[in-house]
Amino acid sequence: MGFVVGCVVVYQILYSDVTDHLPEYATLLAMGYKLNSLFFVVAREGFLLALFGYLPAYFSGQILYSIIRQSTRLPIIMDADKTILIFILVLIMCMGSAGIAMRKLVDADPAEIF
Amino acid sequence: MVKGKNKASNKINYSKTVSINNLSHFYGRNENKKQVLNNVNLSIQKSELVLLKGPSGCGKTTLLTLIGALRTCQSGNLTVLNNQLNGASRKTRQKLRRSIGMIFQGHNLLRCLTAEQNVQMGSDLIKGLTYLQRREIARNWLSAVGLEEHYKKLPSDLSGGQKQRVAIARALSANPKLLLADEPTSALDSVTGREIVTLLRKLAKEQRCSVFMVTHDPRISDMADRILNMEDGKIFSTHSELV
Repeated sequence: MGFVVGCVVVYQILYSDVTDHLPEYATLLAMGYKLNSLFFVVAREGFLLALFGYLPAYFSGQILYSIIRQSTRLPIIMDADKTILIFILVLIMCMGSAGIAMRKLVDADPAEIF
Repeated sequence: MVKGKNKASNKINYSKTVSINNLSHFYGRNENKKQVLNNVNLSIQKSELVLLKGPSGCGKTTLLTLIGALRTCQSGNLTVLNNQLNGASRKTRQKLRRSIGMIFQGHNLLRCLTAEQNVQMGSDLIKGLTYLQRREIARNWLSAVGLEEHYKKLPSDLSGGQKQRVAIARALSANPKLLLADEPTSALDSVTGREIVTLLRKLAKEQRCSVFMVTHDPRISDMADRILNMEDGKIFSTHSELV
C-alpha cells in the first residue's frame, strides 16, 4: 500500500514540476536539445527524489528501531538485506513515476513559445 | 537539355541562408481549415538583417516558426541553411535548430539558472568543448553584450533590457548561422531597443550570420538591410509590391 501511495505522490510531484517548467523545456527543444536529453532530466530528478527521500527515512528508521529495541527488548534489526531491498523499491517507485511523468514532456511544443 | 536546366536550377545556392518558394501553411481541418501563409516567396542572404512587419494574425510568427524548423512544412519549398525542410524528419529539424539562434519576445530564460548558466545552455550545444571552454564562451558573449558584471545574477534580478541581452548572448553563443527574433524590442524603451538592434546588427555582421526579425517597432526600421511587410499571409516589399 505504501508503495502505491508513494508512486502516486512522487508522480504528482514530478508531473506538476514538468507542467510548471513546460515553457522552459519547450525553449530547450527550440534551441536544438534532444527530447531524450529532457527525458534524462526528469529521470535524474526521479533518482534524486529517491536518494534524498531514502536517506532521512533510513536514519529515522534506524532511530525508531533502536527506540523499539531498547523499550521492548525485542531483537528488531534493520539488516543490510532489508536496507537494500527498500532502497531498490524506492528507486523503482520514483523511476516508474518519472517514466509516467515524462509523457507530459511530449506536450512541450517549441512552436508555441513564439 | 531540359534535364540539364533542371539540374542547374536544383543547385544549392550557398550565399542564401533561407530560400522559400510558394510556401503555404494551413491551420485546422475540413471546414475549419484556415490558410495563414499564401504562396510566400522569400530569400535571405548571408549577413543580411531583414525586418518583417505586419498586423497581428497575418502569419508572421507562423513563418518564423517554419523557418526555425519548429513546424513541419505543408506545401511549397523551404530551404534553410541548405536543408530542405519539406518532409524533413523530426531529427533533421532538431539538428538544424542547433544552427539557428532564437530570441523570443518573452526572453524565455531559465528562471533557476544565472545569466552565465543561461548563456552556457547555448554553448553546451557546441560539440567537443570542455566545461571550462563552454563557460569561457558564455562569459565572452555576456561581456560582448555589456553584462560582464552580471554573470552570477538570476533573471529575476535583471531588468527587461538586461534579460533581452542575456537572451541575445544565449542565441549567439551556439555560433548560429541564422538568427530569428520575435519582437525583441517590444518590451524595451526606444534607447535600449536601438542599442539591442545595433548590437544584433554588429554581432551578426561579425559572425556572418543572417538576422530575420519580426517587429512592430517603427523606431528600428532604419537599421535594417531590407524591410518586408506581410498582410493576409502574403509578403510585400516596403513599396507594397509582391515579393
